[in-house]
Amino acid sequence: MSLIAALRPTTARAVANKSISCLASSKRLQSSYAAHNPYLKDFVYKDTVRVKDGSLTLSKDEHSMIDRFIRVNQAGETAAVSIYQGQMAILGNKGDIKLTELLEHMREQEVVHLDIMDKHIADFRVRPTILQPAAAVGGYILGATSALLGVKSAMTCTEAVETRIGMHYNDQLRDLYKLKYPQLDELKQSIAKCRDEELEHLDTAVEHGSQMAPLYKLQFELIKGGCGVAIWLCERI
Amino acid sequence: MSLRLLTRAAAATSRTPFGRCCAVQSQTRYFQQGGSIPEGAGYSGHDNTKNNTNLQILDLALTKVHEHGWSTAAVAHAATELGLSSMAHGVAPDGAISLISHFMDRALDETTIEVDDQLHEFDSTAECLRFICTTRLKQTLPYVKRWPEAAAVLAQPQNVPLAMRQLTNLSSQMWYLAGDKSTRIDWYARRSALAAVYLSTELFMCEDRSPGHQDTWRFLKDRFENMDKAETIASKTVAFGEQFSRNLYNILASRGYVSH
Repeated sequence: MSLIAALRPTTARAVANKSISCLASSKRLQSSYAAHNPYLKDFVYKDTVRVKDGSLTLSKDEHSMIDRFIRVNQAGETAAVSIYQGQMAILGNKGDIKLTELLEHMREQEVVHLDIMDKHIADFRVRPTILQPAAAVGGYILGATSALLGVKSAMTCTEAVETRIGMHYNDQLRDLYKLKYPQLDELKQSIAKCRDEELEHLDTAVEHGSQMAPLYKLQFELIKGGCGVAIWLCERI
Repeated sequence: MSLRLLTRAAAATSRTPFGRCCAVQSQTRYFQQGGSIPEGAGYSGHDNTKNNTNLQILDLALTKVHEHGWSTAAVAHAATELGLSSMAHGVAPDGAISLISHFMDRALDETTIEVDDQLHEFDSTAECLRFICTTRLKQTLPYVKRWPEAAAVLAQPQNVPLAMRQLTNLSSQMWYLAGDKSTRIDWYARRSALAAVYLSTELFMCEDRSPGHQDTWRFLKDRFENMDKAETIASKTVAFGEQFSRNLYNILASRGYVSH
C-alpha cells in the first residue's frame, strides 16, 4: 500500500486538498517557553519553507513538489550534457563537420539548461540528487554506446531521451500552473523554454534519420523506458 | 479581541525581515479566525484551534522537563496546568520522542529568528556557521542536564529515522542561513560535515562543567578548524587527481595510444 502511495505523483490537487497548516490563537494562557517570542506562540516553521531569499513562503507539500521537480530536472540536464559529450567523443572525429557542429550546438543548449537548473536548486533550497555522478556517467556511456552503433542510432537515442524528457516537462508544467504565486513565473518560463528546446532536438534527430536506425523500435523503447526508470529514481533519491 | 490583535501586530512589525514575513502570516490567521473568509475556503477553523492547543501543551511541557524529564508525565502535567484533562498527553503520541522532536523544532525556529539580523556582521561562511551553531547550542543549554536522556531516546533504533531527519533538517537550515549555494554532490558533504560537528559539540556540552561553558565554545572552534582543513585537503586531492589524469592522457596521446 505504501509503495502505491510512493508511486503516485504529488499533484497540485493533492497540495490544495491538504490545507496549509495555519493555526489560530486561543484565549488560553501562553506557555513561558514561547512567551518572549510572539511569533512562536502558535506557529512552527517546519510547516512552511521560505524560498527565493525569503520572498516566497511555500507550504511543505508545495515545496516538496517543486523540490522533486527541480531535482530530477537537474539530474536530467546533467545526463543530457554527458550524453552529447559521449556522442561527440565517438562521432566528433569522424570528419563530418556538420554533424559535429550540430552535436556541439545541442550540447551547448543543454549546458545552458543545466546552469538554469543549478540556479533554481540554490533558489528553491532543493536537495540535489545523490545519483548525480551516476547520471553523468550513465549519460556518457549511453551516448557513447549509441554513437558506436552509428549516426542513426545516436539520433534514435536523442529522439527517445528527448521524447521522455518533453513528456516529463509537460507533466511538471501542468502541475506547476496550478500554483498561482507570481514568484514562480520565472521557474515556469524556464521549464517551458527547456521543454521547447528539447522538443527542437527531437525534431532535429528525426530529420537526421533516427527512425531509419536498425531495430529502431526496440532501441527507442529501451532507452525511453530506461529514462523513465532514471527519472523515477532521481525524483526520490 | 481587537486590542489583542493590535498589540500582537505592533509587536510583530518591530522585528527584522523574518519577523515581518511572519507578521503577515499571523495577521492572515486573525483574519481567518474572525470569520471573514467563508467556510470551505481551504482552511478549517476546527483544525486551527486543535493544533494551537497541541502546541500550547507541548510548549508548557518543555518547562516541566526539569522535574519530569522527557516523558509523558511532563506533557500530562502541562495539560493539567492548562485546565485540560491529563489524558491530553495524547498530543505527544509517542511520549518522549514527540516532546524531544517538538523541542528541536522550536529551538531551530528560535535560532533562525535570532541569527537573522546578526548574520551580516560576519565576513566568512565559517564564522557565520559557528555563530549559528553557538546560537542553536544555547537553545539546548537550559536543558543540558536532561539532554543526555534525550540523546539516549533519539539513539533508540525506532527513533533513528526521526533523529536523522531532524539532524539533516538542522544542518540544512544552518547552511541555508549561512548562505550556501552548493548544487552538486558537495551539498551532501557540507551538510554531513556540519551535522558531525554539531552533534559532537552537543555531546561534549552535556559533560562540560567549565564556567560559562567556555570549553564547549573552544571545542566548537577547533571542530570548525578541522572542517576547514578537511575541505582544503579534499579540494587539493581532487585538483591533483585532475591534473594527474590530464597529464596521463596527454602522455598516452603523444605516444599514439589514444586519439586526440
